[in-house]
Amino acid sequence: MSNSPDDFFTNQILEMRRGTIVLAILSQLTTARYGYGLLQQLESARIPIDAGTLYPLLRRLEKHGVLESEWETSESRPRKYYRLSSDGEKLYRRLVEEWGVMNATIIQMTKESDI
Amino acid sequence: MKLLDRYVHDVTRRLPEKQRKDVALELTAEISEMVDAQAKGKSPTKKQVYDVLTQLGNPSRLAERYRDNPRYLISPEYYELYISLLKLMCLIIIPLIVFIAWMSQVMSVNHTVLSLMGVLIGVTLEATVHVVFWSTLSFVVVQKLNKLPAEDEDWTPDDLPELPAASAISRSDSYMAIVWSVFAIIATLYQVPVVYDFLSPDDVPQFFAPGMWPGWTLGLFVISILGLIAELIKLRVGGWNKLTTTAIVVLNSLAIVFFLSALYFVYPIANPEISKIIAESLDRPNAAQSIQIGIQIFVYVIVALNVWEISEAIIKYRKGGKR
Repeated sequence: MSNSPDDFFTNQILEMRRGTIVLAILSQLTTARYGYGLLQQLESARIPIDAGTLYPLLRRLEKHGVLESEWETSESRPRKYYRLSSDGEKLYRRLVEEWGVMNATIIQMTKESDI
Repeated sequence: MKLLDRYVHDVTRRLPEKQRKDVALELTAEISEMVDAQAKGKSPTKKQVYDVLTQLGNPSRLAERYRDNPRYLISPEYYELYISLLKLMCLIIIPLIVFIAWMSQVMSVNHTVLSLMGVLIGVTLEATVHVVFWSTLSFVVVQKLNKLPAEDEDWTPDDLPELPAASAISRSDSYMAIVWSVFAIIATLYQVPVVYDFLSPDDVPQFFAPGMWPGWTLGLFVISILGLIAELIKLRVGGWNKLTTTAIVVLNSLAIVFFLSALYFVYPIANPEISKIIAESLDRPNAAQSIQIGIQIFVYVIVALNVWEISEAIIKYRKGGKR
């Protein structure tokens, strides 16, 4: 681990991304999407995420009952579509609320500081 | 898309068995999707597959993310090897240890039926605990040593292992079975009076008791030949399909029936001359009877092995069929 401020900055950004990635994913899954489609969607919203992170994460969210999935086999290639479950929707609303509070607090605090 | 399959396999082989099929399906679908996006409507080149896989990175790392509960004593990656090693130990080493302990007890001056039983049970338990403990410990250590993340960064798809053949057979099991079959065939031929007279050995008696001739010896001969054929078919096919599974199941069922009836109807199975020679060479002429019992036990072990082979064949066949 290097100690330069730049490295520290990069690390902090990564940490922030990691903290918000689930919220970003959930926000996109009110409509059903398959993994790669979701990945592109997030990318175009400038939230890049590793495919190798996203796919296992989707499964884990499903396992926790946040998402539900369905195989779509009518197309030329089978796709596994994920969307929010009803529990997931509730969880999502709570997270959004929490995020709003946190965001407002941080904005307030950073405004008050003189730098 | 061979490279893709190899990648998916290299990821899923590190996952718990019940997760594998599902993750494989999904991962294959998603990676194909990514490759197609690279190819932009044309049929994808090998280079494009290669690039997508490089982007996905080291399969062991991806597998780690897929595992929901990463706390294993033996990780799924090593689990199959671990189980097959334990199996081998339990079937060969433990019976061997028990047999040696049994023989030494037989040779001891004042052994009783009770002391023999005690040795049998005690040594079996002790040997099993040791074998399981030490092999588990060595796997845990090997696993910990292999976890060094050095390989992580410079992984490329060229490092992917080849796909194993569908429900592959264990070659070493086959070779062992063949050696046993050949040995049994020679032993039965030795029992044929013409052959025996022709060889007219002075000091090597026939292996089987006179009571085994002719029916039981011939039966063993036929079973051994059939066993040899079944193993050769298995090696030739190289996997568990309908033919190999049927051959192995039928042959082993026959063998079980044969050995159990031999144990029931014939005593002794081994030539008393043989057990006498062994007992005398051990300087314990009275132990001949116990040696015969040891040989009986050996036949029971063979029956257990036959049962094992049947279940193995069926399980592997069903696993392969689902693929």
